[in-house]
Amino acid sequence: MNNMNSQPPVALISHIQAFCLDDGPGIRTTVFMKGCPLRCSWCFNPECFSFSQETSLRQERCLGVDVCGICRNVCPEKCLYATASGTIRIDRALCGNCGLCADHCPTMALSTVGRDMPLEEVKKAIVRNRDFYLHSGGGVTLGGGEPLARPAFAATLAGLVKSHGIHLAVETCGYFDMDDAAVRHTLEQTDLLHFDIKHLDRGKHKAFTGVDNIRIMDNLRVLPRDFPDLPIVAHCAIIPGFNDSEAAVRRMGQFAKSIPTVCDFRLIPYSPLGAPKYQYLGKEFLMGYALPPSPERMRVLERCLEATFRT
Amino acid sequence: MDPSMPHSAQSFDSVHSYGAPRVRHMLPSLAGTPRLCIERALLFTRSFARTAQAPLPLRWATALAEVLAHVRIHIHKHDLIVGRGGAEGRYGFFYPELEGIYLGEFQQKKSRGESPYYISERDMRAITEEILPFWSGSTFREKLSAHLPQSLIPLFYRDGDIYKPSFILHETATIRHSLHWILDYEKVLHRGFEGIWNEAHEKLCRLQADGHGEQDDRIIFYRSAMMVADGMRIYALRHAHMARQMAASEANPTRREELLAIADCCGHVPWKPARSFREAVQAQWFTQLASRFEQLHGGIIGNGRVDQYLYPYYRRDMENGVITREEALEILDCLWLNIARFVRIQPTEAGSLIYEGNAHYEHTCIGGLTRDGEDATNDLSWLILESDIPSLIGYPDLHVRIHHGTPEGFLRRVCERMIQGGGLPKLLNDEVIIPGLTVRGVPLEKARDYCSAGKVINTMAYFSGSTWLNLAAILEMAMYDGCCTPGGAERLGEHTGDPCLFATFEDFFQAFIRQLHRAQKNILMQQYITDMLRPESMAAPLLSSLHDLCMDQGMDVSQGVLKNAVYHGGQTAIIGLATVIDSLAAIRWLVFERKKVSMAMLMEALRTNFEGYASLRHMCANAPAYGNMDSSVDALGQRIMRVVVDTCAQHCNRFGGHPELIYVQATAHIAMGRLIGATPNGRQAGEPLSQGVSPSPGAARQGPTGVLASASSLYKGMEHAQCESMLLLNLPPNIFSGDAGVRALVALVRTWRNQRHWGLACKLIDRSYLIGMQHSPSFYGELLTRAPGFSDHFPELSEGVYNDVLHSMDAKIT
Repeated sequence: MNNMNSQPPVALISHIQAFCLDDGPGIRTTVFMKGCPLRCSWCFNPECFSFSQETSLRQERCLGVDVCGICRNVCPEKCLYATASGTIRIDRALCGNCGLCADHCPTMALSTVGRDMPLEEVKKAIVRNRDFYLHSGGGVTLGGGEPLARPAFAATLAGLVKSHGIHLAVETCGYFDMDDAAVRHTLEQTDLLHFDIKHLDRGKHKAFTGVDNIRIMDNLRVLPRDFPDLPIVAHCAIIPGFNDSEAAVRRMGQFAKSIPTVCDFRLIPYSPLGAPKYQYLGKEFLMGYALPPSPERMRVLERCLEATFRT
Repeated sequence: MDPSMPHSAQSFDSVHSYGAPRVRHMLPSLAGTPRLCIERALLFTRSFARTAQAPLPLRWATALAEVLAHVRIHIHKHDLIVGRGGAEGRYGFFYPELEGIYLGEFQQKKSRGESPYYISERDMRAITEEILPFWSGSTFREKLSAHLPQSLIPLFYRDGDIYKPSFILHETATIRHSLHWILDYEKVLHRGFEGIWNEAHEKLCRLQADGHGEQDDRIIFYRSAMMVADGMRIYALRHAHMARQMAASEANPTRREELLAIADCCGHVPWKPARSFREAVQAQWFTQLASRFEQLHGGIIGNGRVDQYLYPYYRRDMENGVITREEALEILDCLWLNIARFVRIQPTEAGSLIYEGNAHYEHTCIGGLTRDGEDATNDLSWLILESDIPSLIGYPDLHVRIHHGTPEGFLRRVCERMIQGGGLPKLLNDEVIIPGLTVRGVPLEKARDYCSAGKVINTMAYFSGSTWLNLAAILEMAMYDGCCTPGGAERLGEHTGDPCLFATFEDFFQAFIRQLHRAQKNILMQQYITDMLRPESMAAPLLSSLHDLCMDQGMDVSQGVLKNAVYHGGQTAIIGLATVIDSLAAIRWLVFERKKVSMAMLMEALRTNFEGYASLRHMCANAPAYGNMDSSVDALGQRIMRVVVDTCAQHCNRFGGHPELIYVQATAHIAMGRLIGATPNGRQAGEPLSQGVSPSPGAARQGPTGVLASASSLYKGMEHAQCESMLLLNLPPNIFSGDAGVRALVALVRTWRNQRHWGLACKLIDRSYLIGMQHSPSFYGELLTRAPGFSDHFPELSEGVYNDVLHSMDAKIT
C-alpha cells in the first residue's frame, strides 16, 4: 500500500448490478467499471469501452420533439436534431457528453453512462445485499470494462469488500500491469479470478480485440507463481469465425491446463445481447450478422476442452 | 442425505407421471360456469322460519342439522372421497342472511350470459318468492348499514345504494360470516363427532344436575353442539346408504368394490374416530363441507396443517402395507378436487369484483416446526409437495412453513416445485409468525402449531371480516382537499387545503396523514358497530364445538367474549401501498426537490389523465420508486406504516384485541384501481393499484434483491407489528431454470427468511406478461437479463431478448 495517498481514488462506474447469478458462485453484486484497453468486436458491454462519460440514446423511448423536445432546449452544444419522425438524434461529433440532456429527459431515452461514484455509495450498494451473499455463498464481483485498468480504485474497493468479510471475484481480460503495486494489492485480496482467454494466435487476437495477447498470456503464466492461492476460472466466449474451431479450443485448453491455479475453464457461447447497446451509444457493431453457436457446436467444443483441459 | 427425505425419493418421477386416471377424468368437470345451489339457503330459511322463538345458536344448529339431513347428496362415478354440495361441475352456495337481497335485483338486471354463475329459473323463483321475503330487512348488510352513522355511508357505499361499493373503505364483514379460520380436524379424526357429542352431553348433564334450566346459555350451546354432531352422523350415513345401493346395481366389479369401500368408510367416520388414512381424509372433507353449509369463512375454511394431523394415519397404513404412496396421493388429489369444485360465488357485483374469477383460498400448510420446536417435515409433507394439482388448478392454497431448521433437501425440493409450478406453493416464515403470536400472548408451544396465515386453533378468536382501505383514495383526498374520485364531488375526507399552496413536501405529507387518520378512525367505528351486531346475527355451532375454549365455557364464538382467548382486533387491509409511496415520492422529487413541475400543473395532468402530458407522465413513472432499496423512498413507506401501526396500538376492540393490519391477496387492487383517477406515479386512471406490500408494476428495477430489501424496511422498528403480508415476487423464468436456478431460488428463500418477511408468493412471469412488456417497455422493468459478465445497464433491452425468452418458454411448454 505504498502508492495510496490520502486522496480517495476515483473511477467511473457504469452500473452496479444486484442479483447476478453468473459472475461467480451464489448471488452476487457486480460492479461494472468503465473503460477497457481492449476492443473486442463481440463485446456485449460496449458502454464500458471508454474511460469517460458517454451519452446514450434509446430512440424507441423518445417521445419526439412535437411532444417533448426538452433536450434540444438545454443542450449547450446544439448537437441534438430531430429526424423526419420527430425523434431525436445526437450529432456525436459535436456532443461533449455533458449529460444535461439526459438529466432532463423524461423517458430516460437519453441517459448518461458512467458516473464518478463516491466510494461510500459503492459501499452502500454492495453491503446492503449482504444477506443474499451470506445465504447463497455469493459475494461481490468487479467487472467492466477492465477493473484492473483502474488499479488504485480496484484495490481500495477490494479492501472495502474484504473488510466486510464479503467474497470477492474479479473479472479480467488479463491485460493489466502485473508490476503495479495496486494491481498486486487487488489480486492479493481477490478470492476468485475470472480470466478471459480469447485466442492463442497473436495475429487473430490483435485483429479481433485490438491488442496483442503476449501480455495477457504472460500475466496468466506468472499468476500461479506470484499468487499461488488465487484460484482462477478461465472464461472463453466462443465467437463464430474467430475462435469456434476445435483446434483453437484445444490450444486454449492445453494452455490453461499448463497453469496450475486454473481450476476451471468455462466456454460461453457468443450472445448478441449487447447489440442494441452499440446503437444507443452511436457505435458500430461489427458482429451484426453472427449467430450464436448452436448447442451441438458447443458440445463439440466442450469435448475438445475435455480432451485437453480436463484430462 | 437429508434425514427427512423418504426412502423412495428417487421414485418421485414415477409418482409424478402416473397421473392417476381418476384425477385426469375428474379434471374437465372443473371447467365451465359454476352453478349456484340454493338448497342450503332454502333449507336454512325454512328452518329459521320455524324457529323464530329459539335462541340464535340453537336456531343455527337446527338449520344446519336440517341441511345435513335433507340436502340432496351425490356420488359421482369417479368419486373416492364423497360429499358434494351440488351436482356435476362446480357449485357454490347462497347465504341469504348476509347480503342476499341483492340477488333479486341483480338477476333481473343481468342477462344470463353475463352472469358469472348459473342459476335455474326454478331456483330463481324460489329465491325471490320464498327466501328473500323471509330475510328482507334482517340481512347482515341491511342491519349494518342501518346502524352506520350517516357520515360513514358514502365512504362505504356509492349513491346511497348499499349494494354498490364506493371502494374507498370496503367492509367485508357482510360478504362473509367470518374471517378465515381452520377447524380442529385432529379432534374429529381422533375422537369422532361421537366424542364431541359425548363431551357436550356430559357437560349438559352436569349443568342440569347443578340446577340450570333450558334457558341457560351454556345448556343452549351444548344442545346445539350435540345437534350438529348428530347431523354429521346422519349426513355421512346417507352417503353410506347411497354408496351401498349404487354398489348393488354397479356392473363394473372394480367400481363396485370402491363403492362398498366408500359405504364402509362413511358408515364409520366422521362419527367414530378414523381408522385409516382414507377415513381420515373422508372425515376431514365431511367436516369442512359441513362448515361451508354453516357459514362462509374468509377465503373459505382452511385445511390447516394437513401433513401433521393426517400423518399418524398415513404412517400406520404405510407400515401395515395397506396403502401405497400412489394411493395416498390419489386420495389427497381427490380432496383437492373436492375443494376446487366448491366455488365462492359472490351474489353482489362488489363481491365478484374483489374475488374475481370466484377465487377462493383454502389455506393449507405443510412443514414448519412442531409444538416442541423440532422440524415437523415428514414423509407426508414430501408427498403433498409432489401433487401437481395445487399448482395446476390453484387449489388448495398450499403454503410451506419455512424455519431455520427446514431440512436442506426439503427446501430444495420446495424450490424445484415452485419453479415447476409457476411459483407455487407459497411460503410462510415461522421465524416471524411465531414470535408475532407469542408477543400477542399465545403460548410458545401453541404458536409453533399455528396454521396458515397465523391462526392458532383453540387459542385465538375474533371473526368479524376485515375492512379494506383504498390508500390511493386517501392520497386523492390529500390532493383534492378531502375529495376523491370514487366519492365524486362530495368532500368525504378532512379539509386539508389546496396543495398548490403547500410550501414543503412535509406539508403535503401531513395532509395525507390527516386524511389517513380520519379513514382509520372511520374504519374502527364501522368495526365496532359490526362487532356489536354479531351476537344477534351470527352463530357457528359446528365451528364452536370444535373450539376447545367454546366447549369448555359453553359459548358460541359469535356470542360473547371467551375467557383465556387471544383476541384479534379488527383487521384493516391496506390496498395500494406502493402506488401511494411512489406517488408521494414522485411529488417530492418532481415538485419540491427538482422543481421540474408545479403542483398545479401536476394536478392538471392528473385531472386530464395525462392527456397532453406524455412527457410529464414519463417523468412521474421514472421518479424514484419503492422496491429499489432507495432508502429515502422506503422511508415514506415506513412513515405510513408507523402512523397506521400506532393508531392500531392506541385502540382496542370490545374483546380486548388491538386492531391489526393485513395485506390481502384477492383482486381488490384491480377493483379499487378502476375507480381511482391518475396518480402522481404515472399510473393512469383506472389502472390497477399495487398489490399487497409489493412494488408497483414495473417499478422494481433492481430485481428480487431490491424488492425484498425495500419490503423488509417497511417494518423497521415495528417488527412486533408484522402482519399478514404476502410479498409477491415476479420471477423471470429465464433466470430460474436448471440446477443453478434452483440454487438461486433456495438462496433467495433463505434471504427472505432471514430478512424476516412474513410470507412469499412467487410468480414465474408468463407469456402474456412478457408480451405486455414488449409493448409498453417503459412501464415494465422486471425482466432481468443475466449472462456471465453481462451488464444489463439498459434493463429493457431489445425485442431480441424478449423473443429469446419467449422462445425458451415455448420450448419448455411443448
